[in-house]
Amino acid sequence: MSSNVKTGLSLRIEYLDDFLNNDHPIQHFEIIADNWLSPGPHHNKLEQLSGELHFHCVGMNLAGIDPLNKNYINKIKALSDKFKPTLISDHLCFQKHNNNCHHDLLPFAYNQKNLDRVIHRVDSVQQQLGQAIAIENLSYYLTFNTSSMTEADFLNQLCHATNSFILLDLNNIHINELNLKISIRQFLDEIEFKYVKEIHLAGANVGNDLIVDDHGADINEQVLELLQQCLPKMTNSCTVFYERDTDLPTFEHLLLQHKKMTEVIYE
Amino acid sequence: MNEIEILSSAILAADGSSEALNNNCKPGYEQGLKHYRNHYLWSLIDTLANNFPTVLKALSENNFNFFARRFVLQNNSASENIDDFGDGFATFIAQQQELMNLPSISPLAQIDALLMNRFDNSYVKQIDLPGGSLALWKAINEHTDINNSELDDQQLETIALKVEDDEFYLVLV
Repeated sequence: MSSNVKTGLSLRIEYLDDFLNNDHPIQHFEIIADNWLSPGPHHNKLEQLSGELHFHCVGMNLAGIDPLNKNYINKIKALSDKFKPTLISDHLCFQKHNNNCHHDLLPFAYNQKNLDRVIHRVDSVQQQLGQAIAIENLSYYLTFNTSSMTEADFLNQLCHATNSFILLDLNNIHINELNLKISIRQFLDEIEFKYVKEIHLAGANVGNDLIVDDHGADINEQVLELLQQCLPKMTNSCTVFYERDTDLPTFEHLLLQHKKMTEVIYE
Repeated sequence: MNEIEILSSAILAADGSSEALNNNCKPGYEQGLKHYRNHYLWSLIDTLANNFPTVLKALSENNFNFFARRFVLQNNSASENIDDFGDGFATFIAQQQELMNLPSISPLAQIDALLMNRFDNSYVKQIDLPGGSLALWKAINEHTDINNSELDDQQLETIALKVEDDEFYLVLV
């Protein structure tokens, strides 16, 4: 197992005081940057938190057609200048169209025309931010006839063209196989791990019709097995984060999830 | 139309139409579209509930959701920050035919809107409303007796938003 694999937790404001006031082993945190764009007492508290910070964004609209929102990117840059995150990421999706914000991570067709457009957009974002970003694979609930390549192939080509990185969300590929029969095996065989700088683990909401990526459950055992499969392939320094955004557990339970994840990595 | 336009339009379609998706998506897309539509609708309805809590209490959840859903279907979200959603809701709620016999709802919505926009320096910081509006708003939020709260259109009151020690509060001026 690569000694360059680190572990951390996504940080919600609800847990900020817990992390500041209690002993804990967490040294890496990731925040949803969009929730931290306005200054306030929570910024002061975040500055007191020791550890490495990652930004995870939901508003870059990397695969969209609307012009990039430079004002939004500037806000992310300003936050980045203040907190100096190790890595900034967003998703391989569109979030807005015709100035209508969907507040969701929406899929698109994986083909050459879209790849050319997304390459251009990622280049622009990285230029504005002054650093390379990581791009996360998506959980999605429908697929398009006009896709001519796989998501993994699209991501590989995108990272090659833009010198960006992959944020590999193992829960998402697990959900996509369950919902849409998109092969986990094929995805992990195809993705180029030289681009992977961050990994996400989470739990999903098992509904009647769909399994939904709501980050509202403990880490799925099958997803932990996927992590074990990935570890020998890791060639980069990489941070593995557990994401929990809904049905928030106690602080102690959150730390237990981190412990579970760490035991798999270091066993 | 490209697939982004098709999916976006299908999610926003008030009549739930999705014919264009039928020609562009692999079989089984219907569940996915339902998920995306529900997520869109309920994310914004929940945001309206957070931004207009007094209106929610006054109407109760089912009725509030009915009007909130109608507002969402008529008004797109233009800001990446979902918490910004709700501009125009106070005006919208005052125009709803079904609420014409509840004249107190509009003033409550306007007071909620005043608080919703408390960090927006360009938004007004005081409003003129029928007499008794602030007392009714407080009574609803503090769960005290509202039976004797009647609004007086003939005697307006000015309600202002004040800040002290980073706390916002409403006063009559």
